[in-house]
Amino acid sequence: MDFSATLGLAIPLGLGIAAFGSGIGIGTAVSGAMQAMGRQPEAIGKIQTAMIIGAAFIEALTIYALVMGFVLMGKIA
Amino acid sequence: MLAWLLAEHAEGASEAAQAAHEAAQHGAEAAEHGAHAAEHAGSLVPELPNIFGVVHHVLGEYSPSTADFLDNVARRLNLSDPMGTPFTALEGLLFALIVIIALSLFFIGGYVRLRRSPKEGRLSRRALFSEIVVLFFDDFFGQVMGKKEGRKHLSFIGTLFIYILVCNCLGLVWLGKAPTANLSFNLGMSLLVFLYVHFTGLSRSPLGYLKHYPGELPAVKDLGMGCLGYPLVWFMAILFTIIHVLEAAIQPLSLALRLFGNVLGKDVLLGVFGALMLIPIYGGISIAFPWHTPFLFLGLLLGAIQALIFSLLSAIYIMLWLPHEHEAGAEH
Repeated sequence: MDFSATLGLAIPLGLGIAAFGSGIGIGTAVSGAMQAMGRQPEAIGKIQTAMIIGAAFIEALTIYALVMGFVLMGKIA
Repeated sequence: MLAWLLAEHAEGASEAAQAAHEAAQHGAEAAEHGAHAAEHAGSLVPELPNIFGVVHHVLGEYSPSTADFLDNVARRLNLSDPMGTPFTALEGLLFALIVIIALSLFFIGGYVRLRRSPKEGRLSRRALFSEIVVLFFDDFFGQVMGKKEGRKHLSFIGTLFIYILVCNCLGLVWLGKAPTANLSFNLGMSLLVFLYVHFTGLSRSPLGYLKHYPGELPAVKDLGMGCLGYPLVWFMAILFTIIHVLEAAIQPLSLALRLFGNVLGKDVLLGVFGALMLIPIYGGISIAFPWHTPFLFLGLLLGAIQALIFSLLSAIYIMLWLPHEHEAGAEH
């Protein structure tokens, strides 16, 4: 199995696993935010802001995997 | 400006269904340039064409010496773009300069005009807009950092936010490229944040800054191990120092990579959908449909969120590296 074949197999697989983890993480975060919003509707604005910020942090980890995908894509012969 | 951009793109989406011939001209040029110019410029990822890329492409056909001269300029300046040639980095740099000049003319010019001739009871629209922006930053970063600290660092963090927001939005404009899609650019900005954060912490109190590194260690007599407590606490101090040094180094790197990944991903998404624009029907004629329109709105949202995250994180890092007051009983 040569280098390009291995990369062609590994890069989408790695991105899929990263997206899987990010999906679970952001789902947990947003579910917590939804529950908090349900308990206190007057704080919806603040909770929404905090939720967006938390989601951006969790998504950053998937973006690191995407950046590695971009870097390795150039090395496929 | 943003509302005008949104209106232009929304208009384009509704027009395309009706006037396909008009869109075919723009779309044909853009898609052809996009499919070829990205490879011609040597970038590894497909992107929509930008004005300097188009100029370079045209120059390459009609006067190759000027195109080579531009490439040499980019190489001499040691510009580097991990996803393309030095010339694509030069494109990003020129767009960044345009953003700097435009923002400076807008805000500084408005300030100078306000100071020079205050109209009685009537502020210009530019002054009102600037006031809304600054009050938003004061509110938002005042919640994170406290009112006093927020006022002190407002100019740096607010400038970061506005600059990154406008740079991200340039990737959505026709014939524009986001300068933040270049990793070197983001690393430069995060280096600046790194220096600012640590210089602020050091200048506030050097001893308090240095106390961050070992962290909060338990007192020796609390451990209950008698004589063995001393080497253990020293060992923990060294371990925590290494961890905190690594943390201080990783923080700006994560800032830069997060912004780079988001903006490059958005540009590549737009480029891939833009290359699909041409739909050939019957022979040589093809119509163009702007499939990438919904992703323009997504790109606007994500660009704004990433600008907010960058500036918010630098505010949080400033707060982290300022000297805290230690509670009693947890001193080393």
